[in-house]
Amino acid sequence: MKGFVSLLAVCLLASTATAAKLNMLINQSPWFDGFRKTLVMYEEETGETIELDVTPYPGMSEKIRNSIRSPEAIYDIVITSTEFMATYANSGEFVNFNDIDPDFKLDSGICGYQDTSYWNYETRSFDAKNGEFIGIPVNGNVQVLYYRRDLYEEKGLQPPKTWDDLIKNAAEFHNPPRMYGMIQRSERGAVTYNFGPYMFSHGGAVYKDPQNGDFSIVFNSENNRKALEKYLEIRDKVGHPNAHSIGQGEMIQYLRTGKAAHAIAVIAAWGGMDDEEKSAVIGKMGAALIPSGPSGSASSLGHWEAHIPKNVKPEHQKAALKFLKWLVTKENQIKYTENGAVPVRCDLIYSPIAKEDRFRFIEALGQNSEVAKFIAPTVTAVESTAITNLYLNKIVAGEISIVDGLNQAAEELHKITADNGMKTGMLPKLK
Amino acid sequence: MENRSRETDRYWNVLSLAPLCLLLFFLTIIPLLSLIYTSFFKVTWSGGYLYEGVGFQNFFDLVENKFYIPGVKNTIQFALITVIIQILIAYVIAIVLNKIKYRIIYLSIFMLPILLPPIVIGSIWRLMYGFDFGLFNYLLSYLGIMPIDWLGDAKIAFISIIILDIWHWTPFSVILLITAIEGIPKDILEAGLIDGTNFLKEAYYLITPLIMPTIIVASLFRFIMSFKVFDEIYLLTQGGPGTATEVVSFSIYETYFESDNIGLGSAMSVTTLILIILIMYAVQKIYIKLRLNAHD
Repeated sequence: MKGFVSLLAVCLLASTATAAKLNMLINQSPWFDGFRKTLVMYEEETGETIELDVTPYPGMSEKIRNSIRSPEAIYDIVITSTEFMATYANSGEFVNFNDIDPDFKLDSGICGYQDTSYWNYETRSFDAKNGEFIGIPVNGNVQVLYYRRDLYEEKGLQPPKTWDDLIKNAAEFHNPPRMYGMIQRSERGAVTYNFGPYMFSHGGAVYKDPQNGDFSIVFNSENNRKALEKYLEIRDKVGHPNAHSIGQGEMIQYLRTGKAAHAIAVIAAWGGMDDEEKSAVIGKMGAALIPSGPSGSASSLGHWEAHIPKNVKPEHQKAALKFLKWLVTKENQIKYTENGAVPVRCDLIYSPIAKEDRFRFIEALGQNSEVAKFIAPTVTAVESTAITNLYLNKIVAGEISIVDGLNQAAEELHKITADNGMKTGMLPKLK
Repeated sequence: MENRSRETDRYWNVLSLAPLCLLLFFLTIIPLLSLIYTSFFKVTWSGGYLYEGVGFQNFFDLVENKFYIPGVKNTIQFALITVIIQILIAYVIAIVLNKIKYRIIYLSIFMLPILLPPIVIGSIWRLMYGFDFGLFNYLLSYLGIMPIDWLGDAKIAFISIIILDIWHWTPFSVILLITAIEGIPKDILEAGLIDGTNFLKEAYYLITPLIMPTIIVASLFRFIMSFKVFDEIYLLTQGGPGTATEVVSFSIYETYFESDNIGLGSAMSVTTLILIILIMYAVQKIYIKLRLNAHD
């Protein structure tokens, strides 16, 4: 009897000492498999368990909302995309990591992503200086220039440095419908994101100075007009005539079937390019820095940040942070990349794996991450992106002129920012 | 004695209907009242939901909304066109199937589109409508016809969605109509045959008037269902190009769930509900008038 009681006591102690089992919400994506494989490594290494709720992108926002607003969290870790990152950051429902570990900070090797790990509740903007530390990047998805390196080698070309170089190079291969020189993704749900690099490289933007809390609308600027003219020039000279109905799925299809010589696409799409079962361009694709305009080169941020909600139990918060810290170390980011996920460290450019042919995208990823900008770093991102998407799509489809489209979009955007009590203003109408 | 029996009947009627009424009250009436209530507030989150009364402002805002009004126009057009075409096709198919011996085999095949999950339908039709990779343009190329931008051309995209919806939901109307035709007493049709009616006369003079109530119900039902169209738009066009295929369900989804604008989303839902009720009321009035005229 005594022995049985001792055994029971040992079992009870053992059960209380067992690590917390965590729940994490993650989206179904091309990089998910790499994440899962890395998580298995973590579980084997630490004996801890993280259950994943793998959800298609459209369901993510709703699940995050339900979890962080309930009395007790459903998920110990949630991840946010750039589309709704600011909205949830501003909800005040995410833990400041320094409340769990006062000494923890992101090391300099991790890409900065325009301070999206820090939220300033006063200015309602991402701000590393005065903001709270609420996010850790877990996926470094940014746009890069995909190009056919085999065809470039045949013709003795170099990756384009400017948009005009791109037109010149793409013209060499443009022979529709066999091959399109450049594929642009301009369907209504995605055009703003695809237009981002053109806009920023021409000195354009949607908001004047969001990092300092100035959300004045500059969408109808002369710079944006020039950027759109360049966007349409590329479409007309070397692009697809129906760019306005091309989404991410079609864009990847054009690349993988060898019908596109160039495209600006997310690095998450890289996974399938060298996959024998999915691609006709194995080993033929190259990645480069996106061409520059008058204001240099730029990309659009499309990365994901991980957060720990405040309604998570303290012991789970600690366990969740332990995993996130583990994930972003250089050593584990190399494993992460080898497993097929998108790394978040810009210093991987200098690691030996960047020299391997199968990871030939790393250099371009690092370069584009350094120049990537956040298109709508605002709590009204979903609403405002719906407006920019609508008018940009209409412009690309030829339903409205560039000037009218930009002016009308700017008016709508101004109304959204004003209604939400943000510091805002407007440029005079573009003529 | 009779009064007592009547009272007992009434008691049992109330008792037997009570569970259903309670269900209806808790699952329909209360959520509906809550929706109406919410539509007069701006709802924000700050550690808890904050309700700020804004009167009718959400209703004024939806008039200016760049997605909702085009969505209403498109949805009404979409519902009218698809219902008329679907009912016509379903009527012809049902009449023809009624004359075929092994119609169960054909019916099973016709049923397939209804059984497919929306995501499968989206994938199938996205593949068929594709510009460079699509089946339709591939077939057109054999006829020497230039490829069509099925989902990218503002005028064609709307028609493409209508074609998909007709393919998807016509079988539903076929089932309703064929069931109605099978319910017609055989002696009526046989009497027609004795009187020398041919196939067309039988369809026009005998079958059509007898299944008219089913046609009306099927039309109303399909009209309401068409007003709820969402998956096809979401999977194929996301409302674009521009607002060419925007529909109310998509606008409400974007506003309520994606933008988390609960007040405006509720106002859109309430307005849409009122609109559907008004249309249904008008259709019912027309139907009653038509029936009265027929009796006269």
